[in-house]
Amino acid sequence: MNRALVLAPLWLWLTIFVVLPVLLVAALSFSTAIEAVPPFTPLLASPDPANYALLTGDAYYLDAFLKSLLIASVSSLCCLAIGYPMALAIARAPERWRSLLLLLVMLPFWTGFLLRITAWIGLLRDDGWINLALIQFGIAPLKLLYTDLAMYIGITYAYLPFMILPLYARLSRRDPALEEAAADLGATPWTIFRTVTLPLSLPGIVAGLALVFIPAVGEYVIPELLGGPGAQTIGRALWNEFFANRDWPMASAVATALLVVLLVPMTLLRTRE
Amino acid sequence: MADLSIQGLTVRYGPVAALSDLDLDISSGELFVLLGGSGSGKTTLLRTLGGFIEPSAGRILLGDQDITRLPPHRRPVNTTFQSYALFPHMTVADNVAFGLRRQGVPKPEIAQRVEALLDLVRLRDFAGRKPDALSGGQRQRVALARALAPRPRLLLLDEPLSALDRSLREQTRQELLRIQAQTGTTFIMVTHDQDEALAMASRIGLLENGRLAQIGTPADLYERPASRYVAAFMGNDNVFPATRLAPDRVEIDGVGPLQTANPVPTTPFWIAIRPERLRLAQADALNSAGGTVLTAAYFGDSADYAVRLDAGATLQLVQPLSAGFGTGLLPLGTPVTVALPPDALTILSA
Amino acid sequence: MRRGRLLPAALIAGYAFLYIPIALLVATSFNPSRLTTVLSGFSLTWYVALWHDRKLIDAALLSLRIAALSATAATVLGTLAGVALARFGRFRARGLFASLISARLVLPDVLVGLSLLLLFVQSEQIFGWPADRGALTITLAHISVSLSYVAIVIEARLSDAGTDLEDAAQDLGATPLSAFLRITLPLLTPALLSGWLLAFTLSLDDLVVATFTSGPGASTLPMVVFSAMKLGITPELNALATIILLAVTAALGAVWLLQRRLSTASTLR
Repeated sequence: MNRALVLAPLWLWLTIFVVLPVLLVAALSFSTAIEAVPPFTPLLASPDPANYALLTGDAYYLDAFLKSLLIASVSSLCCLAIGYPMALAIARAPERWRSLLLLLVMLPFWTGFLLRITAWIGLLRDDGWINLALIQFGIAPLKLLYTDLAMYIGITYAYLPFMILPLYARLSRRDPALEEAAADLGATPWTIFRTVTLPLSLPGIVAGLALVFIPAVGEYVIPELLGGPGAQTIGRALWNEFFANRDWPMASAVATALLVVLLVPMTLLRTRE
Repeated sequence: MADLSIQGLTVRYGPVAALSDLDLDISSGELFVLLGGSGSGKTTLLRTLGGFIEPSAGRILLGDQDITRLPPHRRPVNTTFQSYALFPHMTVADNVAFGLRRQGVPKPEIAQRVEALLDLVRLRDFAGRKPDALSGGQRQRVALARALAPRPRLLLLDEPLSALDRSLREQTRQELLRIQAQTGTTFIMVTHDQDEALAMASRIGLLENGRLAQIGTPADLYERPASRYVAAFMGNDNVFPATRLAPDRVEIDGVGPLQTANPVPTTPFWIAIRPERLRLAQADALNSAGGTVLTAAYFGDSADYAVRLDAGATLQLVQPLSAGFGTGLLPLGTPVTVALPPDALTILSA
Repeated sequence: MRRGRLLPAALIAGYAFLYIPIALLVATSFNPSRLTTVLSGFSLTWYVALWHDRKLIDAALLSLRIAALSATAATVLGTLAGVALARFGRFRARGLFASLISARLVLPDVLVGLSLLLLFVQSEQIFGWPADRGALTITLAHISVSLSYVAIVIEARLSDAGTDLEDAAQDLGATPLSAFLRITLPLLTPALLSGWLLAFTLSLDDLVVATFTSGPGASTLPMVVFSAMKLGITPELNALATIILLAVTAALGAVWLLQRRLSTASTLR
């Protein structure tokens, strides 16, 4: 039937490009690095959990995981704090403004991630714009770049649209009559927000948090460019294992562990849908 | 010969049966109305006839052809949708021509037939417009023209008037009747509005929970409801359990002993009396009972009263208001006598 | 229900957060001095330098090619996936299908990059293909990622619109395929466009996956910019950013106007 024709190639693609690669990563994590091309012992030839022993034994990796989870959590919450009012404002705006307002939210996203980071580097540098302004006001310059703060700002900045869009999608679906009814029954604007708007937007909040948190855990570029040398996230650890140490199996072990850690929020998101 | 024959039709969604073992024969040229509340199965039946739902059991025969398993695009049946479903990116003319193009009708003939149809629905000048430039009533007519274009054996109409405002509804109703008479197509129409059904149908099928509660002419359902459900659906609230006193006498609890014109069964039964058949009368009239006015509502040409009888029951009355019958509304609490004409007492099985 | 000044103020503050860095970027691109925080005048020197930077230009062209190709392929596959999710009802293993597609949306880049690289490496071991990683492998990787985004956009649009129009078409004699081609697709045009644009941008922007799946000689724009950034920000990069900003604004403006035209009536409602 028609459907099989459509589904078959899709299943094929998904199997080859989604399922298989992940399985390969898991398999590779049991190999060892050698000087060869490719630089690892043949997959599953002699599985050796040594990499995992290292992973769980060495505090370096544990710290990296915890650091990543912390960064992702804080950044998600910052995105929520900034993004929610924006999404709500757009949802409340007159109909004809909305697409323009959304476009303005998305425009920075469309201009390229890396180059926007250069903007922040320019702002946060020791001789950057923020410090320049501080000096004007007679305040001592702060070390802003290559700090954890810079990372939080960078990740929040990059992921903000991913928070705003699902929030907006949810908020724009709400029935304004519900809020009017609450007002009619004597609720103050704050109470209305707390008891009507906020609870009803919960699925949007969850979706937004997931869309920011999960990828942010494995973020490499921003910590690399904005974070200090001490800010070892799991993404950087993976990258270093792979590119600096040429230890592909170890990188795979890190990747597999990361996937396992992320499966929890991912399934939570799936079941909520 | 029946044009459409539905036999043992059942549609099941898991354990729930949306339609249960339906049998229905519809004659060629009828305007048959499927009436029912939400969840009654009327829309399910319509969609099954259209081919959008596959029945779990039963058959649908159109003339000699068994169309039960045919997909929508191969059935000689067309549908007008409640939302009209006009193709927004095509003009009115292209919408109407769509079915003809699928049939492979030659171009000049298509142009001719589209023009004729637009004439039929009086939208000749709108041929080049897009649906969004039309009003609700106009879209309804385009949907009708589009569905009639392929000359289907059967036309299914899903709540065609529900989205229209009152005056437009009247107008469109007349249009539908006119068009049906002119084309001679068999129409099956779904509605939840009993007034619409009464005004338009040659016959009505009232659905209750996936089964047919009654099939008959509008008068059949109105004056001789087959069950309490039908009576209530057709707007009759005067439905009471009763006991047999004699072959021509009954006792209604809360009303009193009454003379009947219809033979009284020996099995348990209920009595229904249409509100407009009740009369305010003098005491001592046949089948009369005394009471007081409980509620009164003014409708211009008539008044609705609820009268609480001294014996206990409450009766709903509709009284015409015009010279001779009193033009004022009776105040609440007025003592009145209600007469229940013997031939107005309709017997319903329990 | 008006919440007074609070919300609009928050909105403006949010936009400020988003745009001030960009505004500064644009301003410094016209600054003749290397010191990016001292605005000493208006000059196009950096744009000229950019024009002569062969490496950057080649990388940009490569990125554009890869982006256009992967976006187109992703739109086709993603639309099919979106249609399957929205219209095929409860087909076998639908849950798994949906999970696999949405999983891509949230997996970190490093994971995606590493896994796809391994796929190509193993494939080379066993089948001898791809012999050399480069533009092709990057393109395949990007298709794989973008597919999910397009699928979600299309699925959302189709679910919202409902099946009435397609039912009407079939009712009038169109086969399911014909109904899809004549009715659904034309009305999906705005969604197809946004899906394509989304896929295009994701591809153009991607650093991590490209680095993993690339090979000698295939340097995409982000890869070149990244290595340049590690050495130190030059205003040349700011000039590049400004150009991209202008191009994107123009493109988006055009799309927005087009959408306005289309949506005054004929979109999938």
